[in-house]
Amino acid sequence: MENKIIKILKKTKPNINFLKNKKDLIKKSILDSFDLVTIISEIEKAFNINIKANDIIAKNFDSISKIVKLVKKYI
Amino acid sequence: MKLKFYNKKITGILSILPKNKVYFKDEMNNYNFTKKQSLKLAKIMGYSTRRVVNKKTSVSDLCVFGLNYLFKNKLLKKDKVDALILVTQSPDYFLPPTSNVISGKINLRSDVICLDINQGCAGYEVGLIQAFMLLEQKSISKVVILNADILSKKVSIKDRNSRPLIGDGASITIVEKSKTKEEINVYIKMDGKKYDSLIIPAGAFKQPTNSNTKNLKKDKFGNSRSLENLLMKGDDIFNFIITKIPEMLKEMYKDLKIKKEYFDYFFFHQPNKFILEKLANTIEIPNSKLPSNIVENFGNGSGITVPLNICFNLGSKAKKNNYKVCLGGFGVGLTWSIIACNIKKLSFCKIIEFKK
Repeated sequence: MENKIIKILKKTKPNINFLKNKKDLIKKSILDSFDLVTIISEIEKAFNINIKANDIIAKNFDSISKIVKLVKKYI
Repeated sequence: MKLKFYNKKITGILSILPKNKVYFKDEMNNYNFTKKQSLKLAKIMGYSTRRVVNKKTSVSDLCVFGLNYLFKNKLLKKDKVDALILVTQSPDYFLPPTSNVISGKINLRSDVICLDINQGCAGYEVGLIQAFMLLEQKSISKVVILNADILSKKVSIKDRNSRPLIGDGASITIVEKSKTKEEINVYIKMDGKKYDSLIIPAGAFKQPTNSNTKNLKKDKFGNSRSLENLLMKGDDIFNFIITKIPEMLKEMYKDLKIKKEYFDYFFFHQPNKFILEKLANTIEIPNSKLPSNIVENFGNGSGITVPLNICFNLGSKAKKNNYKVCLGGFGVGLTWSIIACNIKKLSFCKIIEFKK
């Protein structure tokens, strides 16, 4: 799952190495709200889930591990 | 704040759109994205076609064009208008009020009350509240609400957060006293602590225009805008809408002892397709009852999205039928409001093009 998520992140931000940048994705402004919109849409498609609006908050997307945790909640 | 009004009704809605269409595909090279990323985001957010005015067109031009259309087609009698409310964030001048300018251009009586209100995304609901309050007066029988904005002029060409969304336009809504029993329930809240979530920081009196306020500065995500451009904090707005609107709806359902199924339609402001679809999902309203097709066809025209939504999605059906509707506006201020009312056999409900 982690690899699949990293692949999605890489597709949205090709210039970032997400194997080296796994944490503080929002805090360090690696991802902005418009990147999140694309990433959420791609994740929903890849895992066939529908992430609820109240889960779309910065802290759920601030690291790869937190994104994995969020996706697991829906599977 | 909860407000209740009786025996007032909307009797006609006209939307006025600039004929000039701008396509996202033609603009996407301005933004800091690859073509593939841009097209993906366009699909999710609903970026496609926006209507924008030319350099010379002002809010009063759009409104006067629409009002003259109504007079010419005998849909509104000039001497029957008792009040003219203009809701806009893009007035012709700092002073005088643009509603006075419009009144002069269409030659209204001098005892017609003209009011300008500075509101945006919830501007349709705020305008309706003001109209309902005026109609409590014996001497006022017919109020004309004008919602109009031309904010495309204030969005940086290099701002991919806001530029592809913003559209221009106007709408005219006629509100009158009703002889049949009508109950209208209004919910409205404001949070001025978040005033800077959607803001044009400079150009008024707090921070007047100077050479620095015109300089484009790049933010950490690659968007360039000046202090005289619209600034939208996307994540603040998303979280605000997703939290506050479901709360307000729950409060209304409880107070009125109704369920969501009571309404035929939810005509909400349309900031972008992503937010609206997530909101619809959260409040469990099917897309067929909560249209989300305004941004992709016309752009987000601030306070005009709700009346335009009604004209685009109901159109002439609104002349024949009765609908129980929930109107919703949310955004700049921050301000959020919902209104439970009826759309009953309107005398007109259509879109016209401003052809100048």
